[in-house]
Amino acid sequence: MKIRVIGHIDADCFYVSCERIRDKRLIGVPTGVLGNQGACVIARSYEMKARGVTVGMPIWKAKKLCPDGIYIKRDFRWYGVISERMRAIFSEFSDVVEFYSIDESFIDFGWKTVYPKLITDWQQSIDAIQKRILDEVGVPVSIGISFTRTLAKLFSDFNKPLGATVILDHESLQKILPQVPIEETSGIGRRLSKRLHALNIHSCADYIAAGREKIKRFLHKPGEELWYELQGKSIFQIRSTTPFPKSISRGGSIWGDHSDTNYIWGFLVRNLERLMPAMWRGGIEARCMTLVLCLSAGGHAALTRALDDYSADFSEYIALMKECFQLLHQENEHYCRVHLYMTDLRPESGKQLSLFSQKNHKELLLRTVRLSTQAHCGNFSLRSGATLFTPVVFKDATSNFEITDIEGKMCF
Amino acid sequence: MCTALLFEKHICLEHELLTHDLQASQEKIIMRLNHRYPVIPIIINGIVQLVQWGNRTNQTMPKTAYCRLESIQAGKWQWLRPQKVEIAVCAGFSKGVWFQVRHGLWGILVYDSKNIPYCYLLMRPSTHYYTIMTGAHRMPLLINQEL
Repeated sequence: MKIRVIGHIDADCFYVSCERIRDKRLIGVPTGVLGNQGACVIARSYEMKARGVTVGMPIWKAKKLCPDGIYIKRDFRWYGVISERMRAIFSEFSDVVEFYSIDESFIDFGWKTVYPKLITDWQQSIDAIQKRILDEVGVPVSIGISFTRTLAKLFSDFNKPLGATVILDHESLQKILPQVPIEETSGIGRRLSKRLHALNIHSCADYIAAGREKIKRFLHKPGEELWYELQGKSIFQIRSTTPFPKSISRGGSIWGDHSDTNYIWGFLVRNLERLMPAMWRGGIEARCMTLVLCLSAGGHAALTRALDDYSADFSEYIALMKECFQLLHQENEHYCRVHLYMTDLRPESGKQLSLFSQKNHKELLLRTVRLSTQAHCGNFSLRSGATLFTPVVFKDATSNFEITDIEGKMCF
Repeated sequence: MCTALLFEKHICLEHELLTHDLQASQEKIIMRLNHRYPVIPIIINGIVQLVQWGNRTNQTMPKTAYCRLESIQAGKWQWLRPQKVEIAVCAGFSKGVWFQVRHGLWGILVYDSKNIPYCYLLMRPSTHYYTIMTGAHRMPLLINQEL
């Protein structure tokens, strides 16, 4: 008999582990990594977690709970480098590896024959994988091995840090599932778990025992898929390539409340300069653009505009963005965030050639120069003059590379 | 303002720790500005030395623990012939928050008429990030590190 073997590798307090690689003095010290503005804890060490500091907690609250903790500014470029090093090792174990997020990957080990020492051998293998990643990269990881993607992810959360759980026989699975609360399953959020508790479904075993029909009636197809997955029947595939996106966006805080037109416009251009290279690298062109300006007083103003034809030209989008901005922006209003969305996307290569369309050679040349300069000298090493009105952002080099700039991952 | 600094005990010379009554400390030493005799480790000619942090008692020297970058650039410290020095610390404390210092801080070293050294922390206006993180309007000058 053969079984499907799927692994989930999850780095333990990844951002903190990355910081500890380059600063050994942080080992054993309660450490928290702060987000883009320095206001919230986005990752914390186990020492800090033990003091009650949670992810997303504001710094003023965290410093009360953990006054001796050291707080670090995030550096996504560094975390991206470490993540890439980890993935290089994962790809040695299988051809099918899914880069799920910056610190998580799924590995499809394929179909394996069942034999008496199977579990012991896998346990030894994952111990070796953990040791190798710790020795070569310096990051502790937890690994879960099971029949399906959902189970592997569930088991990688067991015994963190450096957890190693192998469940490859149905007998052990039946024993373990009654002990696992349903809210620990990927895809079951707080709201959904409340609904399930009302149905007297508290553990993964309860979920299975509820029956397919009942689950489908309440949670529809995704719930039914999860029902199969929890029983060890693989439904969700491991995707080694990123699916074509439905939309691409960039945006966020404009570093305080501002009413200055030039400053806000500078921020918008900066976001467009982050968005367009992502489209070029992905070979994507778009037709629609949505601009959102969030008011400091609450609420937002949004406008969607479409081009006559699909395009990936910076000049066309900056003109479209200017049109939207002029219509949306109110002189006396204060704004705190801006967002740009590109929708109605299609692959650039799939375009039917036309006798009448004229390629903008100057634009293509500029794109090449922009991409190669970025690759060699970093993001924003070449930027539009409009961004000169936002000097404060460019003074901080670490702000030029954000989590969204790490490409190829399946989720945020 | 940065009111405390954290540094590793092993970088300091044994006799210096003894002189400043720090030999009984843990592996890492927290030096607060309100310490009876605050000292900080600075690197002079490749050697780490513990030097008095700022001045509280000497009437002839500036009574502060900090030196504004703008004032040194304006030449206000010129009469003391300040030397730029590296301060070998691994964390700083400002308004209740300990922040990481990767490669140390910049400071100035000056001597009084009796040749006693004093080290002042170089301070600059806070960056947006540092202001949100700590709430302080001035921050120390970090070596090869953006905060």
